[in-house]
Parts: sequence; C-alpha cells; structure tokens
Amino acid sequence: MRGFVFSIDAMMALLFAFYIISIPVNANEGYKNTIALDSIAAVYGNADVQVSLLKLMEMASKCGEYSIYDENMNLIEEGKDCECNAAPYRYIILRDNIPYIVSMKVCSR
Amino acid sequence: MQMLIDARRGQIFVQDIGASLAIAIITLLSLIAFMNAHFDAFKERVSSEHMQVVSERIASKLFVERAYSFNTGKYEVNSGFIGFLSKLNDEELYEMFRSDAALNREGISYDVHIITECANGISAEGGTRKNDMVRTTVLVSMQDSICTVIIGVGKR
Repeated sequence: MRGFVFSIDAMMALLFAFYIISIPVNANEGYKNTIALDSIAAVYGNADVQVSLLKLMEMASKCGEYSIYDENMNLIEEGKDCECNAAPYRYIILRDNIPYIVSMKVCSR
Repeated sequence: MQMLIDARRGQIFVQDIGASLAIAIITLLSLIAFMNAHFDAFKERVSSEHMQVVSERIASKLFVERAYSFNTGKYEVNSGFIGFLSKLNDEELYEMFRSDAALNREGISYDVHIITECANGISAEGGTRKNDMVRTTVLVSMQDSICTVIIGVGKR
C-alpha cells in the first residue's frame, strides 16, 4: 500500500518537474525593451525634437500606445498603433518648463 | 508469532525502499532524457539572450555613460559619432573598441556591427557584419536630427 502511495507521489513529482522545465524562461521580458524605451523617452524629452511618439516608436522598430498627462493627471494626448500587452513605462518630460507624465507601452514590430 | 510479524515488516520495508529507489531512478533518467532533448533549444535561447544583453550593454556604453567624446548627453551624440563608426572599419581600432567594450570577456568572443541612419539622410556603419547577429535598436538625437542605431552582436 505504501509502495503504491510512493508511486503516485513520485509520478506527481515527475509531472510537476516536466511542467516546471517546460515553462518558457522569460526572465528578461521585463527589461527586454528597456534600452529602446529609454532611448525613445530621452529623444522625445529632447526639446529640439518635434516628432510624435508613434513616429519615434516606428523608427525604433516598435509599435505601441501612449498617453500624456499634465501635472494634475488630466489626459492631454494619447495615441495607439497596435495592441500591446507590455507593462506600461512611465516617465516625466519637461516642455517649456512644465512637467508632463508620459505613459507608454511598447512592443516589437 | 512475533518473529513472523517482524520478518513481514522487514520485507514490506525493503519492498518500499526498493520501489521508491526504482521510481526515483526512473524519474531521474526521464528528466535527463527530457533535458537532453531540449538542451540545444535551451542553449540557443540562452546564447541569444546573452547577446541581447551584450548589445544593450554596448548601447549603454555608447550613448548613456559618456565614455566617448561624441556622447554629449543621454542618447545625444554629435557628428563625431559618424567618424567613430568609420573608425570601426579599421581592424586595429575595431579591436581596441572590442577590448574597451569587454567583448572578449566571459569566455566568449563577440563581434559587433553598428549601423546608423538619420532622418536628415546621414548614414554610416562600422564593425564586422555577420549573418546570425542579435540586434538592438535605439534612437539617438544628433544635433537637430533623429537617428536610428542598430547594434548587432554575434559570436566570433
């Protein structure tokens, strides 16, 4: 009887081990686009550059969506060119010394 | 009678240990077989992820850390960047850059190829191109223009 219980137990352990090994390793998904996002944010934050965020995303071979809020969190502008389930990336830009909050989701094209 | 009971208990104990050991060995062998079957795909994936990290490290060194004189701000460069890319086509300077960017570290040697295309029509490239490179795209501003920089990293 105990042998049977051990067998069931071991089979469950085996199935669990296969399940764990089969899970795709996406450890770097969180930061995969960080450099691209960081560069888009920095270039968009550059006051000399007057290009839309969607255009910048396109130039970086990305697509996604963005929302820009003022300091009172009123929505000022938004845009979208694809469905993107990435985590939102938020940062602050200064335009004419007024801070704006930019929230964007970026996915690879 | 007691001896018989003790003998039976001992027999059951030995059977249980035997069954557990057999199952443990089968489990281990199955796992090894499964991992062997997936090892190549896993190795490929890890290698690709590593090259991605290396290309992002290069991007950070070139455009964030101000390690080079052309890097005037975060993701901001001046026209010296075009000259820098041209220099990467010189073998000696290319090797210096590889050493500077630690592309010989971690037991693996990498080649790098950088292409830039700017909205104002300026374009340049430098380094060593390979077919199976992992690429990272970043944007930089060069004076009044925006440039796309593609950094490719591949095993030497």
